[in-house]
Amino acid sequence: MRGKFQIFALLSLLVVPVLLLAQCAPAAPPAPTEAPPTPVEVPPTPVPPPPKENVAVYAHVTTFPDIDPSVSFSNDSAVTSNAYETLVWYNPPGSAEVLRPGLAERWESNADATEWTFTLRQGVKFHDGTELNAEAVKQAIGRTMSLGLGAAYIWDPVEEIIAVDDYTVQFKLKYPAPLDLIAASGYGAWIFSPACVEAQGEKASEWFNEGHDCGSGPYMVESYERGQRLIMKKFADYWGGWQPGQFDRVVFEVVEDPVVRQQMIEAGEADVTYELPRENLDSLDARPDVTVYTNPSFQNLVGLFNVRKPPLDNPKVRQALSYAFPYQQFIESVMEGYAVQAHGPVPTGMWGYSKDLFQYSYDLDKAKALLAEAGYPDGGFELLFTYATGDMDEQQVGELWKAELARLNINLTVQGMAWEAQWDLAKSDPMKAQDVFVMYWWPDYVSPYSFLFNMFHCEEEILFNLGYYCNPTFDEMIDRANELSGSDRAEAERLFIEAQKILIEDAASMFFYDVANTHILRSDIKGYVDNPAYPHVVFFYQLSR
Amino acid sequence: MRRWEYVIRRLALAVLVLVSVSVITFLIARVVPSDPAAAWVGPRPTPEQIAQARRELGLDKPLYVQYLRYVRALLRGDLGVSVKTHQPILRDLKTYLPATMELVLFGMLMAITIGIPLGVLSGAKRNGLLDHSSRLVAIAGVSMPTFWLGLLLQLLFFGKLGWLPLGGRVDRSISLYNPVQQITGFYLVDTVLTGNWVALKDSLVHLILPAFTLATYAIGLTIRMTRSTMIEVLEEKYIVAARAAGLPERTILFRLALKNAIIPTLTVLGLSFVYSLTGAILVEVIFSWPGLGTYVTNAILNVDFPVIMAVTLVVTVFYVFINLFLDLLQAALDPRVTLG
Repeated sequence: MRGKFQIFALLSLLVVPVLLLAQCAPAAPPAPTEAPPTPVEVPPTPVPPPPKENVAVYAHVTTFPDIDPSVSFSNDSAVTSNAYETLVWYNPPGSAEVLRPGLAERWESNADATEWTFTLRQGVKFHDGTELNAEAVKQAIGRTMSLGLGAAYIWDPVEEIIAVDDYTVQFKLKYPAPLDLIAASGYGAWIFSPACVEAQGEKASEWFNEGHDCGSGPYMVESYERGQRLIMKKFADYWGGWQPGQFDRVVFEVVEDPVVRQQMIEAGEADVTYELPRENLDSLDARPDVTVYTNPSFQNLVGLFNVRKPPLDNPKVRQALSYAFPYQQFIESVMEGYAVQAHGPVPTGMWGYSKDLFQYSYDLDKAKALLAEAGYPDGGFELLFTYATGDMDEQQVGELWKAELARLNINLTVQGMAWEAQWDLAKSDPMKAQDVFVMYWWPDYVSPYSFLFNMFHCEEEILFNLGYYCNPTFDEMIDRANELSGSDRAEAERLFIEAQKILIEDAASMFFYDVANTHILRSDIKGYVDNPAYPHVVFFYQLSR
Repeated sequence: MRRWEYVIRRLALAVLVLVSVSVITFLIARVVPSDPAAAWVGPRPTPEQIAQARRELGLDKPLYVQYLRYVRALLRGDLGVSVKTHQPILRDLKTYLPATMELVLFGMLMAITIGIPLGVLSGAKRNGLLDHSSRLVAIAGVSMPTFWLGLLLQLLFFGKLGWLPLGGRVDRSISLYNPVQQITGFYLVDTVLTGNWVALKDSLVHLILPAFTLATYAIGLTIRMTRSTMIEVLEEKYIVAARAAGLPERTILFRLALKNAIIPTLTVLGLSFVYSLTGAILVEVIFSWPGLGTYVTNAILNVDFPVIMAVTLVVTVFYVFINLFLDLLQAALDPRVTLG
């Protein structure tokens, strides 16, 4: 009797974790809307691979947090950019035009850029079989705006969207804005089939993230093994048509370890990857079967000076510190040449960038002279430099700068913090916050305004102006430039460049470097061009093998 | 104390432990410098978006109201929603927990099948060649960093020999042409249930390197623990008597001695099993294994507290029940152990 009880008791105890596991056991993945789920009892017959299928493999650094097209605002754009399209596309630097048609064939604005009219491409089908029309555009952008998550704020200027006819959609704005640039954003500007989303009801977001899409892009999400692999297949009815050599399927493998990604690309297990150890890139590029593509990204590293707190409230001290960083030495020795010294806050290659803007160079004598002018001939102060823990480049910037500043008798404390904590400290009382806030900035939509407004425009409530810089003349200039961005881009660009001169003269920030985009591809992949407006996105439709 | 009384007392304590863990994790989540409302919105939240998210997530309510809501949801089986991915955590766990469980269980199987026989033989043939070799294996297993061993194994078995895959749960050709139909989330089970033999073979092949890397510590520990207890047991009088009676050596070692020597080893194995649920992080990253370790690492890096809280609770449940199970098992196997 006792023995039976023992067995019963042990089994009962085992039941609890088993039940827990059963609760946590994955549900069968939802079947496509058209087809019923395959019954479990019937063993699937293994299907041999079609002999001529052309498959591309992207060894991707991160998982895809959210592939809902209205919410996606992260590395998931690698997927969304192949499944969805925008009304307009931003061209890679060096192109004749800044923008090119996407789902809209042409667009125009009124004189003050408060009314925009987009004429849609005809004959475009979404993956659910419905057709693109003005109502679909209105509803897709409407959903993104009403959810209010991710990059939804890019549509803030929009007051009303009107479907004028089947293929004409009009945006009425609350204030002038470059809606063509906004519509070309890689985040929050995707157009999708409203019918497809409606069919999922309130669970649409979950449905997307189970491995589905509602786009019109050249590839459709076929399956998603979370944290491991996402597979896309070509959309046969894609309006652009298909050519021999283009890929039938694209596999995104999530591989976080850089050494493993390198092994994959060397072994031909992956066709595309990025973020490999910089010191290995030259030897990889020397291989005949691997090509390393490098070009400037639209991302830069800045060190925002706390302009409210002494001694950095004195521009001369900030200028002195700007002369105390060995830019070229850092770029050559630490970055292995995969960066360029910044010309102000707008990164290389973006409109609004100017190579004629002043650059501070490494000159300790000048730094000493400026410190003396500011009343600190012997240095003798302490500064706190905060950066996001885990970013080795930011840490090394701090360590190298610390060594240089020590020669000026300035003690720089280099403090790594979780981003949330770093940001939280910066949003507290500026007089008790850090002295230098180090972070990367990249644009939500490609405009100098993203850099200049977010990091340097006066803010009542501190958000991203984490150096607390406030200059009404500067604000007026960039606000005006932003208004003109839609109607007179040349004048807007001139104003943006003039505004940057103010920032550089004021030394509002350290402009360390513009990061290079480096992508590593197998050499038999043809047609690759990096577009920094869509970071780490590979447009597989443009590639072939 | 009667066994059922003991079980009831332990279960009551378990509830207390779980409540305490939920309170502590909830409070930590509110104390650390992070704003879940900002994280919910995305990387560039505007003040309006943050305010709206704060209302929607109920973060504008008093702390006790927030906690009660959290507990009420827990009792309904709702572990909350990730502030980064906006996905229900329970659904994420359905994907990641079975992957880790499969890896850890396979690793434990390796630890048992390799560690126990080696420990027994090592203890029986003290100071012999086998003993020295297995001790070396044990020390190496316990002291070798898993991230280093994992990379070495990849370099050898994938890079040089090409015998085993680099990582992942199945090869991409399986995902493309013979996808695993998920029923339990354990690929070995699901492939058998659906008769997908190609995927079964591939899943097994993919398990070998990560499971072995994960198991090295447990193998080392098992060898050492089994060896030392075997040495003690083999000096007992009943073993001398059995030898005098002329029982075969195999019977003496594996039937008589091991039965008593195994108990501490089982405890160690049980605890290292639970530890591995979250301790497999490095192995999961190196072998691109989409498990709980990877999931919780990303959550920690993103300060995604609902996920951290949920995983902490789930792992606590495992700790509590496996500890209780081990205590009862010990009592059942060893009459000297009393409960209470």
